[in-house]
Amino acid sequence: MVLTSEDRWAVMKSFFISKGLVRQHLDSYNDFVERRLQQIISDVGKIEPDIPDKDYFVRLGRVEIQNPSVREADGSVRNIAPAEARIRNLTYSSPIYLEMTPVYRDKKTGMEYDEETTSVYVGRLPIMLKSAFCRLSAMTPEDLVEAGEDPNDPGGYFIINGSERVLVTQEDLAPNRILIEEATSSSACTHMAKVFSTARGFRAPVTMERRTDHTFRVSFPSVPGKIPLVVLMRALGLVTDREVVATITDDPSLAQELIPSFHAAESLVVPKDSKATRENALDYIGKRVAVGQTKDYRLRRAEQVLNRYLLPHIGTDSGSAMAKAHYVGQMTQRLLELSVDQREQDDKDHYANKRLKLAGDLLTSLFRVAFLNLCRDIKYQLERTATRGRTPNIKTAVRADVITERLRHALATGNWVGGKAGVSQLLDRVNYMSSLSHLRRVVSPLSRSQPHFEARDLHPTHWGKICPNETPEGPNCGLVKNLALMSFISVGSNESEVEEALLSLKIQTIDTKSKEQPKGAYVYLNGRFVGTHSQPELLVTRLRDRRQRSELSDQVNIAFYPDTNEVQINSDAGRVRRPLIIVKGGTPLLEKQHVERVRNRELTWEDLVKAGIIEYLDAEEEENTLIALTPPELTPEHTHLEIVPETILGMTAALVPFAEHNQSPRNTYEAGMAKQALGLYSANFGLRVDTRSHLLHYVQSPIVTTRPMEVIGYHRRPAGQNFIVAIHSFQGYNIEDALVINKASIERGIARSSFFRCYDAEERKYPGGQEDKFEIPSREVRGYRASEAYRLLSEDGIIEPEFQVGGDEILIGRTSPPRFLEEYTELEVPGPKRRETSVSLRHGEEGTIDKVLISETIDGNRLVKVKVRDERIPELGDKFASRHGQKGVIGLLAPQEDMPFTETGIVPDLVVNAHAFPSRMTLGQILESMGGKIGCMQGHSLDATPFSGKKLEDMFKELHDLGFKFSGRETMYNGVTGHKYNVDLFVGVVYYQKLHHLVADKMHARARGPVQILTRQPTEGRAREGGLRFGEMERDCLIGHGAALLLRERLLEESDKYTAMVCEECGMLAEYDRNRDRYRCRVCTPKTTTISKVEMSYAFKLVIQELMSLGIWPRLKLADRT
Amino acid sequence: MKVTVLEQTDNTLQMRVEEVRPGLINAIRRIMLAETPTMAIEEVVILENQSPLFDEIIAHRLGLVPLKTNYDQYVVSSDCTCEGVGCHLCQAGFTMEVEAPEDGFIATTGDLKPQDPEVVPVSDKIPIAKLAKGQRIVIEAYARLGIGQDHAKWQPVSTMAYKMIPHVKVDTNKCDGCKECVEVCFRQVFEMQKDKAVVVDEKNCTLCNLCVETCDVQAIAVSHDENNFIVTIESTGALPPMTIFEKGLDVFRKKYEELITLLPGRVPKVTPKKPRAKKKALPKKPKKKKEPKAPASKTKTKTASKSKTKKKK
Amino acid sequence: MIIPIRCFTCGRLVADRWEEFNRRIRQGEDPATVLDSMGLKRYCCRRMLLSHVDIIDDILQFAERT
Repeated sequence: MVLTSEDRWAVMKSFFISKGLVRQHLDSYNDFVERRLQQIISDVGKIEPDIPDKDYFVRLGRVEIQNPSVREADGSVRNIAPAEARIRNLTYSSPIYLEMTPVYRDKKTGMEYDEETTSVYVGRLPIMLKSAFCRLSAMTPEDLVEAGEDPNDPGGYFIINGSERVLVTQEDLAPNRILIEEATSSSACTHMAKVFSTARGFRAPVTMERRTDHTFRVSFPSVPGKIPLVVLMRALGLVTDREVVATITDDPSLAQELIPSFHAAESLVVPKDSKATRENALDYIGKRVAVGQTKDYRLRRAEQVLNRYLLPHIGTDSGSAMAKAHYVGQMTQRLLELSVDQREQDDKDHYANKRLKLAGDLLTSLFRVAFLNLCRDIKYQLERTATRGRTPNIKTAVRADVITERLRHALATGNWVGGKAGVSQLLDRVNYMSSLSHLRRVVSPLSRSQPHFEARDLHPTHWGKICPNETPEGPNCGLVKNLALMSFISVGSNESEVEEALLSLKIQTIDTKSKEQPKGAYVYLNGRFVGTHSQPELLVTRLRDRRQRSELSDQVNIAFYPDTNEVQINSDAGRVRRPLIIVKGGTPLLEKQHVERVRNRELTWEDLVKAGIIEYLDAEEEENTLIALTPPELTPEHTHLEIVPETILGMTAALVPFAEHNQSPRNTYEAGMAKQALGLYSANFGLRVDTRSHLLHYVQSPIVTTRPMEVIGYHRRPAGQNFIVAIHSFQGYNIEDALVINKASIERGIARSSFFRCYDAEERKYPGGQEDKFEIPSREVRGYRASEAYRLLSEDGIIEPEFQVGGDEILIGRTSPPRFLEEYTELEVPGPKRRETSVSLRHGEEGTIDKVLISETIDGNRLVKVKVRDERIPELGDKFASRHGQKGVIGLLAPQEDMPFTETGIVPDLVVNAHAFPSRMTLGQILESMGGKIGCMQGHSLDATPFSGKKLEDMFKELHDLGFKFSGRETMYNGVTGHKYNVDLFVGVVYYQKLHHLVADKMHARARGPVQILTRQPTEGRAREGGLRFGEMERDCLIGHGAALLLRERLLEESDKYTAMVCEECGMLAEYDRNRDRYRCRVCTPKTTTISKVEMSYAFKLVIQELMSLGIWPRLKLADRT
Repeated sequence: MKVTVLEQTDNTLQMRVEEVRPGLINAIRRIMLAETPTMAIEEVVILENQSPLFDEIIAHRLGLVPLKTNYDQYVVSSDCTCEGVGCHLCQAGFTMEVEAPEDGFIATTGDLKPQDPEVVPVSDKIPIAKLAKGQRIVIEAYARLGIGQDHAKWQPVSTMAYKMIPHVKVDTNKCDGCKECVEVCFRQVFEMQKDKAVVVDEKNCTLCNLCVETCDVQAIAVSHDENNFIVTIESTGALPPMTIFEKGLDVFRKKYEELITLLPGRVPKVTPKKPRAKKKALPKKPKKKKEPKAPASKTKTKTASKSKTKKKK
Repeated sequence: MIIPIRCFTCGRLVADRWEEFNRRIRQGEDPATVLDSMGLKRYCCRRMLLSHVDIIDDILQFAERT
């Protein structure tokens, strides 16, 4: 029995049932809390304060994370749900408790005396929603509703100060791997080898270059400049030339290439004294790192530097020097081979050379820094108490805020350790898809201002891992990516397990004593050279077999490079992998019976993986496979079978029906626009207080669907409506991507939406017992507005629900204490007045009060949130888009009677212009239109999955059988004249999305309004009620026309006109003499001079004054108007 | 003009209209869609609404409910003696007061209590809102006469369409019996009889010309009558289709009469009534059906549901 | 959210058919025959029922919270 596509979809569905849509973040976060958190703390181990005459330290023990809770202002601690955190601007976090044991050491005996172990509160850790540490993860859908959560919410984000924050996955070059490349011709070297050696959060780039003079030089952190290769090798303990060459290559012709390098290091050789030679080499390094120190110290320092900063992933103790020498040897070998064309350059953009840093990895590096800060702080506190002569007490020495604030600040601003910005972003809640896509986003750290063409290109290894379509246009194109549907990121497993397996498979480990180059294929584990094997193919198959039998973690991937005779084994975290069905001898291991049991939910996805039917492959292992797309293609050579080939697409690209009929960029545009469509973003929108949100009133699920929509859950949270669309040039009102919409359809509720904006205010407390107060401000308050503005407030100063409010009307009345408090001793003088700090509706907006929420912040201040709702009926200029990158704005609301109609009375809701199609080639929309018609008549949704959906020929036939013309066209009559059109019009059902660019949010005009204080020119931007800039080019235009008066009016009268008083004598600005009520020139006094009025732009006056402040005397020479 | 009724049910009417120019039949079509008055809810006072639907959605939904219209009793409110304020002559009231019992409830048009038993929703199964346990809706609504031009809710018909009567001819001498026209026609106009294509259902033709394009021997000719029509009317239920048709013609006649009086040389007997201008002067925006500052709605918000949820403590 | 009162395109009343449509679909009837029996012939009216998502149920759950 051959596997049908239905069977494979069933398997794919089981993947999503067990994994969900944002598993990568959850897994990574869980791993962070369960394993890496303890690891970071254990790496530190103990805190040793420098206390004179006392040997005392604190041993760190187990870390414990409690339930998410909040500590109220009154000191009580309560468990909280995320919904409450959102409303009250809280951080959804758990307290971290760490076991600490104070230890005293007896100086004479060296005996350690433990004191009582205490569990100390060290800070709060933000909790990822739906992770194992979030209460939501164990809840049923009913419980979730009870907790105020949408059961469809994917989780995977944090709530920091009430706002939802995503840690965006960062793409990074794989650590601990040698990457060789040819250098640019302009540089001093011909070839380069780079390794980002990373251990415990410390990243040490090691670069080796082959210079134009054929010498090799190495650079690594903390050593300034570059060190000749041979010197480094000698410093590492390979003294004789023979030894050095042996670790690099056994090919005599390649060894020849090393001669210049040896010449370069010749001066340091002490003949027949290997010890002295090595010392010389070490001293070479020592002279750079410890300038002007004694030789003894220099040597020690050089050794330290080599241990700690050279390739730290191999080891940081002196025992690993030989392994490092071998590693450096291999780098050299590769460079040599590259230089003689025995080896290819490494492909940096190959996905095997990329690692993704997920929320867990990012938090690990952040927490490490925060924890080290805390340790430093504890140490300081302990030392301080000791110097004051008191007994140190750990509980008081721990300031939990250090960690809490460091984590919170990084998550709230997105400024991560290492200077990265924008790591944490506000979760996109325009619609359900935009949230999901945001959680699956991957960004590359490459700068967006440089071209980086190769890095932006789609790479063959992106297949099945990264969506080929979903990427932004413009500067971020190709740098911001999105995960494909079934791609899955490795969490990592223990290296030692793999190492044991390798030993049992008779791998030749490197003998650190031996200075000979080992024979056989090189075996690398996570970039670390572990040994050699004489039969690499056998080793690889054995290992893979063990993995399939679950004797080895399924996180492990093994790849063999026959051309270079290398085995790369990876078990680290952050590799993008994808599941495939294993094929043995031309038959897939997934059988019909398995599928049946999967359908009946007897078998889960994990069972299939455990049974060795399905395995995950990373980009590296994929290079050893032959993967069939469909079962009929299978031959005995094939090793794997795709589960569902359509899963190469990402979440939003998979929404495009008939995507394979569209021009590729159109699908990219749609992937971007699907994230702007209005729909239902979350079922609990009534309990949420997003600053701005939209809600489409009558959402519909598309008639023409794709199968991935089922697993994504698009039908439950759709964002669009099925429109009846005709293609026709409706009196030209839809030219240039405009749309003609049936006015009657709009009146019947099509594309209606509501817009919500949330305003909030807090009763802040100030130092000195002063505080804000919600109230209707009294007339005495500074900045009191017209009493009309306060008319809607109740006695408590807060507006009531369902009131209609207009622009600038006050929602929350509030007064604040005066800004500057001065001492008023005399009772006669009235104190400074309170300020008015009310919150009013934005200028130019209006709406109805939807909700008023009164709560309390973490500091015990009253917090009021007011949600204002406004109906958005489609109007001229609102933006709509189909699912094929065809966007347009409404150009005419045509009355129904003017619309074309068929004999059955069908009129279109929407008329698009035919010119939208030929150049853009979005055939998908044409097919969707026909498919929509079929779906409606047959009473079910129509499958338009890319590559496997309904075929065009079948649609022709079905349309015919349903009583329609096969082409989707219909005879129509002109609604204005009543005559029949000479041609048939193309009508059908197309799913259209209302995008969030609405005229009501953007419409803006100004006749008069505010000006900037500094320049007195009109303000800029709609939010500030600004003017529309009359720019340089517009100015040029008026000059060209010679319209001098108009020019003067635009640029002077209507802008920053100013009448300055200028002294005719000296040309300086005059000043006003208050006493005598006249102007005088300060420069010319006591002489009285004539002062004249001069009209100028205020900006010009500013320039004059600024020049004056620089000590320049700008003079205005006045003359009579001629 | 010749009219023959072909088919008539409660809500649909199909007739053959002959000897009419397309412009004229289209004018009648347009008037029926846009200018034939019906009753629809125009003003909604929301006293209480705890349902998840916003006030404006409920008002909009109520507005779209088709109402049985009685022409004899009501006048267009702008023509009414009350000058558009709203009185028993120009508006019909409704009230609705529902509270959901234990297991939720769907408030339908059946819960809408009409003041005038003649003006009622066409169906009492139209859902207005869904309510959860204990939620309440208290509403007053007022229906008025209006025309589809102002808002689609006043359209009396859901379909008013026509087709030109088709003529399909097969030249039996030319026909080579290839059957292609039978296969290609999706309206089953042709049939094979004695190896020749024969027209069996001429009036079902949609004038798509597919058969003409397909026929290799040019044996088929399709033409249509520019002056004969099959007209289909489907009412929303507000009025019987025949009444709508009659009323539409009535409106048309009035317009025609008005036009006559405006012709040069004809002194109008009275000041000519300009219906368009009048309509523009309608005080209320039809889209905004909820009266914003109804005194009742103010009391509601103050007393009843100030949904201030006090969190914590 | 809730079923629209009328077909957006032609204005035919559809809201009163939703409960029945939904019930019959859940009982396993073919949607096309159900729609035919309700007299919804035009595809504009048919899509109103076919593609409707009764999200109001999801929202009501939150109102029913204790």
